Amino acid sequence: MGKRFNLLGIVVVVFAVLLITMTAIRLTGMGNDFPNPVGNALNRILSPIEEVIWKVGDGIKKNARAIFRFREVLAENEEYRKQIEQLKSDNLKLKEQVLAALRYEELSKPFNNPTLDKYEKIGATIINRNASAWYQTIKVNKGKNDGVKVNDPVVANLGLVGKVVTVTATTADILMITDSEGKVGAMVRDSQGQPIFGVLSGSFERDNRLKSWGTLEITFLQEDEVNIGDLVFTSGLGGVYPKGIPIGVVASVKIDSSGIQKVATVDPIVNFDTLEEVNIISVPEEG
Amino acid sequence: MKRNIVLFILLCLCLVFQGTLFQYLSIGGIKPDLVMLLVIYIALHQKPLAGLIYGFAYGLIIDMYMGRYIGLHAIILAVVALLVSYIQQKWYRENVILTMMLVFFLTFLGQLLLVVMAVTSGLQWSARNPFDTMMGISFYNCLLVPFTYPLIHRSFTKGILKASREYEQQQW
Repeated sequence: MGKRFNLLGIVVVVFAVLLITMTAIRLTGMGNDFPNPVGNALNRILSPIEEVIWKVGDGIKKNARAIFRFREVLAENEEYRKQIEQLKSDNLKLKEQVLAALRYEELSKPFNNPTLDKYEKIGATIINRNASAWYQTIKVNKGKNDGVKVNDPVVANLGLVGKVVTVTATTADILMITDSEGKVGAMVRDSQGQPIFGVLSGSFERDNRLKSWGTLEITFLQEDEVNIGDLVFTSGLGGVYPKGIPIGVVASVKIDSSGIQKVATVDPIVNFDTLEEVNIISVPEEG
Repeated sequence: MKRNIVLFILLCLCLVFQGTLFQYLSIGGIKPDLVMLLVIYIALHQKPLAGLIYGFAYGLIIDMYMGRYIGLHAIILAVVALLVSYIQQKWYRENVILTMMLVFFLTFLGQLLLVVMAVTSGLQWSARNPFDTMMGISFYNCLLVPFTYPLIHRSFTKGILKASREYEQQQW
């Protein structure tokens, strides 16, 4: 009798624990600002250590390359010098074009898109990366104290990196768009300039084993006119990302197995493996 | 007490190294699951109930450190630790090769549970082709065993992590 009660008791406890944890998992998902004192304390203690290791590692990586492959680096330098000359002259041409574009923009002001320029940006250094092989996240050294909020979009150089998912006082976790949960409302333009909307998401499927991220994909309808080389921007739909941030270039288009949809893989502009600094865009609270 | 402090420091090291040192040692984005490895090692030297508690507590700490999906790792590591601590009663703990096998299979099982749990709790994972990642993590974990296990095992049986005497007496 006693034994049976024990077994029943164990089953009940196991079931209750399972239910409670699964509810907790649901409730504490991304973009959630639940109180997390243990996590805050851990991050406060561990982030300086991580920052040091990260810096030392980067230093070793860069210098070791120069030492072991001196000849190669020398040749590379020569190559770069030539490229700089080339780029300098290109730059002049581009400057002229930019001036022309600026003049054009001045003329067409009422139609201007909201750009990133009007937002305040917070520069941050990466101190930790992908704490698990399943999460494509980076941790940066700016947090609530610096004005970072959950769901702030994050960019690097020109392209979209992701969004802030958790914030502690001194650090923030950024979910990169390469994570399969980092879905982005994306947009390409067809030959008539009409926007085609889709949702960009990462996957665990790797097309290139040298990269640490899987393929980025957008699903379209079969009649949508999407071509290789089309630029992909954020659509501004969905509320998190402002409209018009560049994401990448369409690399391939194929019909999916159902035959109804087209799947376009996207080459991101940002190289997520060599990322060191990012800009967190501080979107003002609405209301 | 001293033992738990040392184990907690080891856990912190695992958390830090996973995102920093092993980022440089990762192969195509595949890196070991250090905390799962640590929990397996701990559970190899515990009674089932203690193993279960260690697994759950350490899982909870990781979830809080990562700041989302509280409970995900807690449940998985609890299950893995419980299994390991059951198996260890009939296991040759001194044998590194056998331990490598154990780590490989249990890491694989843990990662499988992680994916299943993530999908059933409604996380938006595109679970397409996670097999490679699971295999990669398990294999990497298994490769780390020869470098880490002898040290940990010695520490558990003779060194600083040696259990109090009652453990040796009443194993169940």
